[in-house]
Amino acid sequence: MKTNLSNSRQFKILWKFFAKHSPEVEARGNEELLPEQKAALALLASGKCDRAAREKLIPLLKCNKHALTFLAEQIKLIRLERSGRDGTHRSKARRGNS
Amino acid sequence: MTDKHYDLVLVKRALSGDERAAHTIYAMRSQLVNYLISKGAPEGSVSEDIVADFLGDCFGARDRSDRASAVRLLETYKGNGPLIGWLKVCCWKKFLDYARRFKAIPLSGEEVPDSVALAAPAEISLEPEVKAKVLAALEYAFDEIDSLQLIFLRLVYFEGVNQKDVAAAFDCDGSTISRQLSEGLRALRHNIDLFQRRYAGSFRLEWSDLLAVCQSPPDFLYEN
Repeated sequence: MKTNLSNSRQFKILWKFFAKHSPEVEARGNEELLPEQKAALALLASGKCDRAAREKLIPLLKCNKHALTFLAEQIKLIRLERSGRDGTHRSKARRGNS
Repeated sequence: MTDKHYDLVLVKRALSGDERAAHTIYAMRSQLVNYLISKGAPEGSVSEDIVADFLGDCFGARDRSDRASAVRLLETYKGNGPLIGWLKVCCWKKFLDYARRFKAIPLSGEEVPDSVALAAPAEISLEPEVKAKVLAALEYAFDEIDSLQLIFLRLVYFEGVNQKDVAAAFDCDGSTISRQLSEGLRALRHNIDLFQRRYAGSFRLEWSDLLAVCQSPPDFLYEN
């Protein structure tokens, strides 16, 4: 692609413009998530969903902007928790070695 | 002339509008991305975006609404050391700022702030006719793209989720996500071209022009 922007940046520019200006996205993507939908998305983030459950969530993720944002937050949260745990393990190991 | 003097001259030329000099500095992008990763920054879009933003800041490209008073980070380079070393240090500081901001994001129903919008740029107005045509092309392109590819693109490129974490959630390997991202972006571009050929009549935008139109204000964009 003849631009100096990274792929992620190019996508961000287009998606941000689209999400901001498209009345369709605004209209269809604003429903609040139900507790069971949040639970299903949290399960997906943890990697414990089976194929059927994942496929069931795809339409929700495609159409509801809160769903995708919620999933992203959950995945990031799991990563942070995991890196925190790893850090604790590492420092315990260091203390054990000294 | 020493390397430091050469670097200072290069910076001055770039700031005075010499495109080749600017390009030389911009070509250090991959070195900066590798440096961030070697220091522990995540691989992929996060590091790439931080470097892209940083290089934009170097030329005041994210503050073009008031170009005369735009702060150009490169103006603070005084030639006291090699330019690449100076760029690496500044870029790493920018990553640390980003990381601190990321940790401060609350887990609520609110929309996560987009990492692109570190500085709030001023809006530029767009002709309603142009806007409608661009939106129609985007709507077609996003609608035609494979659902899973679009989800991956939004998660990784827009929400800044690590590719490996997406792969773990969707029970596949990282290379699958990487391939899906490339194919997704290619499909997006193809669909936009297709829409313009079929429905847009004489109104045609090149990819880089489309990006420039969608970005407000236009960022550090030029053809290689």
